[in-house]
Amino acid sequence: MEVSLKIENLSAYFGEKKILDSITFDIPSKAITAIVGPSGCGKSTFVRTINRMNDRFENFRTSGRIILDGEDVLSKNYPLESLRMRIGMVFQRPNPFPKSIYENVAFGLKIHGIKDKKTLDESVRSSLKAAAIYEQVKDNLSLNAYKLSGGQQQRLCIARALAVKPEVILLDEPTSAIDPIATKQIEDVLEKLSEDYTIVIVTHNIQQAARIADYIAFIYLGKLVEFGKAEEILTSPKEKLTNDYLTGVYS
Amino acid sequence: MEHSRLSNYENALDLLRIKLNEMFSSSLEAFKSSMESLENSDVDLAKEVINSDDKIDLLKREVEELVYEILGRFQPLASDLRRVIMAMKIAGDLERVADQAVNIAQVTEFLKGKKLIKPLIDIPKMAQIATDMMTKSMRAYFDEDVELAKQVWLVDDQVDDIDRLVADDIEEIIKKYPTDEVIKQSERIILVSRAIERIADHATNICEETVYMLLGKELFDLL
Repeated sequence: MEVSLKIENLSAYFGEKKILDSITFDIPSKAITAIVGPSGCGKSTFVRTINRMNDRFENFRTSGRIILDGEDVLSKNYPLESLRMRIGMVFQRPNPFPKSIYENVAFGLKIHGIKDKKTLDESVRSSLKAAAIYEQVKDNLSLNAYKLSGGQQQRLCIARALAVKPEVILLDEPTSAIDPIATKQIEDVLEKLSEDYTIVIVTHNIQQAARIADYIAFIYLGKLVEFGKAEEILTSPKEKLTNDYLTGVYS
Repeated sequence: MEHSRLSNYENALDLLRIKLNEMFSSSLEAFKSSMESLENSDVDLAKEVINSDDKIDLLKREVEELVYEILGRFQPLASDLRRVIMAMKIAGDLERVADQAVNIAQVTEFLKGKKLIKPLIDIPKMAQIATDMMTKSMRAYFDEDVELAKQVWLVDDQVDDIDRLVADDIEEIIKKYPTDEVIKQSERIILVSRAIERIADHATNICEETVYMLLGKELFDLL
């Protein structure tokens, strides 16, 4: 198993409150790792911490390390821009910018100073293709992204994340606001993307984890209870807490 | 199916247990009756065993349909998933036990009014062990008793040994008296011996399935 991110003794706090408690595990490269657990267990905080989305909160702090390519991305010396280039993020509700489809996808590249029209065109096209939305929008790339359906918007957000060629894509409940058909399309996209990218998806929907995850991490009360291959966690988890969660003893 | 929509998961599991219990009793009964019919040359009883097979096939189908519905409706995972899948496998074992009972009952019909080439000594002994294994495997399943499951699993060798002994005996008899009648009866006796050996195998399967259901581990790895 090739490792993409090494999570080492990661704890996270909002003020005095410990949200994540000494989490240690390796996130495998080019595979889908699902982070599951009951509401409020810290799974969203976990992925947001990987991408340092919580840095803007004054009372938020972390301890431990997240190693990407030998470097601790939590270190203050690690530049946020390159972190966000290498680790993309897709949120629960589709959040396209109030701009055209084209501008949404080209946005990240432009921020990073890429101006060449041909390069931008090519990147927009390949990103939309990888997110399986190109065929639906190719004739109207100047359409305002808000005109798209929820599922299309979410795939556009995936395309936007892909455009800057990250290694890791984090998704926080990416299908909780869309219907089953659009969910299926996004799950298909993620499976395909996992051939080239490391995917970490937070989901409260255990059936979704069952459908797409290669690996599952179960978090409870801020602690990692169990991490392993999806097929093992889903059929014969080692920890009683995991079994209780999967069988609905608590939710 | 006689049941209406499954209202909740617990009810569904209860229904599964009830069906399996019915299957366990019916197939064990079929096996015991088939042996009784053989030992007492009771052709009427043999016919009853043969006729009861349809009911057991139907029960197996009901268990399967129930399992499909539970999987579709509740999408169980972890120990719940193992419980449901193992119930279906156990139903398969029980249905096969009943099939073997039919094989034995058919031998009773064949042997009707014939003088036996060999008194039935080893076979009833073997059947007694297999019956005991079946009863205990059923208890291990319903009482969720891993230790009992392990015990039953270990007894299986005894049945295999007697099965081989019977085959050796029959070989000797055929060598000594190679008549048509001896060969025909020999085939049937070996068939009975093999049927009992298979039933004991199904009992060990049920024990393995019970352990996997309870622990998510292979019984063999616990020994």
